[in-house]
This record gives sequence, C-alpha cells and structure tokens, in this order.
Amino acid sequence: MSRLLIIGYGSTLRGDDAAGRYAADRIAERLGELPSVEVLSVPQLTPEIVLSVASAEEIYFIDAAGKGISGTWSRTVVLPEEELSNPLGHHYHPAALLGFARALCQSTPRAWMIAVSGKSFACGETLSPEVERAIGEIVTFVCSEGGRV
Amino acid sequence: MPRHITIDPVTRIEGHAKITIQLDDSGEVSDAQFHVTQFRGFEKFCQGRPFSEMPSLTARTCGICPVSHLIASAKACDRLLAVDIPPAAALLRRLVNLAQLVQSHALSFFHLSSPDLLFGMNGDPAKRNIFGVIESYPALAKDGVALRKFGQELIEILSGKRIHPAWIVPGGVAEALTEEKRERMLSMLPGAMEIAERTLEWFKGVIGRFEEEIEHFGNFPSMFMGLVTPTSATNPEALLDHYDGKLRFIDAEGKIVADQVELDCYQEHIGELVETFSFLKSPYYKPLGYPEGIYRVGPLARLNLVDRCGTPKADREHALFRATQSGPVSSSFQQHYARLIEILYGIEQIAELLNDPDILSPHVRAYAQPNRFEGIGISEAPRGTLIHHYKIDKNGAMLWMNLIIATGHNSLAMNRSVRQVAERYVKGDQIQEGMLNRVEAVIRTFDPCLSCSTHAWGEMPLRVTLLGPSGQILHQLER
Repeated sequence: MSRLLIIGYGSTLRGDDAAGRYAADRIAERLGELPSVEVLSVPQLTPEIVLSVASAEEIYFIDAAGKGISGTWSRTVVLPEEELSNPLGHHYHPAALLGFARALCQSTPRAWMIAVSGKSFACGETLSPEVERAIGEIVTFVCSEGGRV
Repeated sequence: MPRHITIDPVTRIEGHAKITIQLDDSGEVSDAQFHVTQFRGFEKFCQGRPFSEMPSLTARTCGICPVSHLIASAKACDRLLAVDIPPAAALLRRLVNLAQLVQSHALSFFHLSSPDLLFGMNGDPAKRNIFGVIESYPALAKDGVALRKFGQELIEILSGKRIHPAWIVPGGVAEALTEEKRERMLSMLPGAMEIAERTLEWFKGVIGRFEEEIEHFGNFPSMFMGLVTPTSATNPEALLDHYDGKLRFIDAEGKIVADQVELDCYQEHIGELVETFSFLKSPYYKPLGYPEGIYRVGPLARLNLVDRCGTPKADREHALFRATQSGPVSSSFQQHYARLIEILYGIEQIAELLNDPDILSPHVRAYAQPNRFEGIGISEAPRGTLIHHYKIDKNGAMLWMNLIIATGHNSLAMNRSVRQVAERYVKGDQIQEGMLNRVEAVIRTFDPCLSCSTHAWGEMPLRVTLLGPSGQILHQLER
C-alpha cells in the first residue's frame, strides 16, 4: 500500500500539456524506489488507476492548466464527486477518480491538485521556459512531501 | 403506412451508432438496420505518407485496441521490407497482442455487458448500468478493473506506453525484454488467472438464466472466419493463433469451406460492399456473393474454427463450450462465454511465452529497405480478424491502403442480429425499455469498435421516437 501517490498526466505531444508528465518523471527519479511512494506518469486518468488511488493515503495530481499567468502553479484540495459521473469513460478528472475509489473500495484518501499554468499547447515536445521553472519548484515541493512519508 | 423506431445513440458500446426499426401496418417488424454514424478517413489521409509511419498512424484509429493495428500494420510493413523478423520479436509481438486481448475482453465483459447479465434485460434502467454493478456487485466490478489493469500494465511494461505505444515497428520491436521486466510480468499472472477462473465459473453458473437470449440473440446460421495455426496431413489439428497463421472459413454446419488460405490471397475470398445507410463497409464471402456470404469473426468464431485452444485450462473449457451445441455454437450471446475462455487462454499463453528462453534474446529487429510494393498484414484483434493492406511507390510512400476491421467483418451479422431481436421483442405502438435494451444488447455481444471500423465525438441524447403513418409521434422514450 502506497502512502503517497503522485499522478502526473497530460500529452507529451502538445507542448506545456506535458508538464504533469515531466514533473512525475522527475519526481520518480529523485525519490527512487521508496516503498511508500508510487509515481504514475500517464497520458490521461483512466479507470484502472482507481486501484492505486484506493490504496493511497495521500495523492497529488499534477497537470497543466490553460488559464492563469504562465509558469505559476497552485495547489488545491480535491474532493471526491458525490455522484459518479462516468465510471465507464476512458478518461476521468481527479474528483471523478476519487468518487470511483470511494464507491468501489470505500476509500477516501486526501488529495490535492497541482495545476501549472501553461503558455503554449501547440503540437511539439518542448516546454516553455516558465513552465520548466515551475516544474522544478513543484518537484522540490512534492519530493519534500515524499521525504516525510 | 409503415412506422419507424430509431434508437440513437446505442449505449455501452465503443463508438457511435444508431438502430432503425421499421414497423409495418400491423405493428410487426419489417426491417431493422444498424447504422454506424462515424466517418474517419484513414485509408485516404495516409496516402502519400512514408509506409514506416503506418503503425503509428493507424494505431491512432483507436484508443482501445491500438496494439491490434500496430501488429497488423507492422506485419504489412514486414512484407514490404521482405524480412522474416527475429524469433524473439515474434514472441514479444504475440505477448503484447495477448495482453491487449485480455484487457479488451475484460472491458467488454465487465464494464459494457455485465449490467445486462447481472440485472437482467428487464432490470430497472436506473440500476442496469455500471453504477449499479459497482453498488451491488463491487467484487465483480473490482475484478473487472483489476483484469483490465493487468492487461494494460503488461502492455506498458513491454512497450513503454499503455495507449499508442511506439514499440512495435516494421521488422520487429524496438527494444528487447529484460529479465527484470519478465519477472515483474510473471508475478502478476497468478492474480489475473484467479480472476479469470472465478469469473468463468460464475458465468457458467448463471448462464442458465439466459436461455431466452441464447435462443434469440443473433442465433442464425452463418459462416465463421479467422486465423488458425498451420495444419498439415501429419498435424491436422488447428489451434488458436491470434498473431499469425492462416485463414480458415467454415460453414454453419462446421464444414471447412476454405482452409490454410495464405494471407496474401484474402481478396480471393473476401469482398466488400458499401451500403447507403452506414459508414461501415459490409465484407462478405465472395464465392457466395452478397449478402448470402455472411460470416462472423471474433471470439465465438475463433472457438468454432479450432479443434482446441492450445493451453490446458482453456482446452478443457473449450470442450465444454463446444458441447453446448452440435456443430458450431451459433448464438451471438455466447460471445460473452467465448470471451471469458479467451481471457483464460490469453493468460495461460502469456505464461508460456514469458517462460520461453528465446524471449530474452537481444536480437529483436530485422532491418531492410522496401523490397516489395505491396504488403498485407493480418492478425486477430479482440473483436476479430484485422486486415491491413498497403501499396507503396518506389520511394516507400503510400499509394493505397485498405483496412478491413474486425467489426466491419461482422457488419452483416450485426444487422441480421438486430432484425432478429427486433422481430421478437418489438411490437405494437408502445416501446418498452426492455425491448430497446435487448436490441442494444445484441449489438453489445459483438463488442463492436466503431471508432476503428469507420477509420467523432459528440454527445447525443438518447431519444426513441415511434411515428405514426402521418408522421405524428405515437410514443417517445428519452434517456
């Protein structure tokens, strides 16, 4: 059972949309094989992730946001949605995944969304400099969380 | 005057479709059609692209079964290169193909079809959905998620990504398998096998409740087609082969009509027709013409075509399955049963492949320039036989492409099934929920992937309207 689950998601082919993926990959490199930490870097949130979600105590979702000043990031609490929106879908949002975990496994981990505002989401595989900087800050923050579990 | 019932969209399937049911003056079904409303255009926009891009491009046809397209496309490209891929590459391609089979069948059975099986066709619509399954049968719902996770994780371990991996390439695969990855996959097998066996035993225990559906859901004589292992006079037994093999056609009595058909010769046996009511083409068995040449592909077809599966537990289950009917098992409802047996086979076969000493060989790719101008790749996707047929110019640019998708092969059969169910369950002026669900449910037995088969997003409210002779609304249902 992982105490801390980190899920970075987004497309690596659409510029800053990959922010969550790069953050997760770098977190995985820094934290190594800590038994109490699980890191997922995925294109989107899919139903199968619910088993990892249900077995965690704390979760960080990391994704790019299309709004806000590019390169800024925020951390907000995520609560499970009260009514399941679409457990049959191919991709979820964090609240839906948490709701699915509660319905399926009676599990209610604490969860936060780290959203980093992107500059460009055009086709491409590079991040804008401000998002790169933000990822560095996010990685440091999350790894400090990982270090305490 | 005839009346019209339309089910739009069909729920709990991959992709978008609608069903039209035509009633005559006496309220009896006179016709029914399954319309696929998506248009994709892959066969056109791939023209001019380098052939080496085809695996990656055609994988984007679908997010459910991209591995199937990668396999068939890579095989077509292998033919263009005129290479024999290294044995380890073939083993690895087989492995990832089976991982996909397991996860796709799990999605179909647990997520899409289980509400009907658990709550019955007349069950309360408020509960007869995946929410109801999670609430009332959480253990089964968890098993479905876990089995799908198993298949997806194997795909990710092997190829680096769960969806649209770039690992399957012309000439083989991009990277060899490490011992660490092999051990990780082996450790996941017992849990998956437990779920597969448990679910199969549960299904065999409840199948007696579905005698009505078995009798009337897409239960009609037809041919069946699929890949089987090569056979010979000294080795006449045909086994399952989802990656390679030869094509076999059998008739409704189980008699072999065409056998050991070389993949390059598929066009001698399969024709395609375009119907005006659907973007889904209608393949048929050419010697019998259209529509008499109706045939089915997929799990039911595969288990009808072979003498046995090829792995011990699946062989035992296959024998029990075939004993349910003299000759080929003909009811499309039995696709659910066949899927569960194939999941069992897939897990057993994955174990065998992982324990093959050659699978760790570092030699996994053959390199060459194009040496042929035409290449055909055929494999068994979860839903049935998948054909990729390419023609290139001397620079390797695509001149022409033909894709015949598993769901496409079943187009005629799906239409026949819809009509059969509609004739039995839809009558009169009033549309009842159970009737509609049965019409949809028969489509779900085929587990169609309509995104693939029409090489569109949108949400439509489900509205069924029954119109009278003058176009007045007699009855209307909305979801």
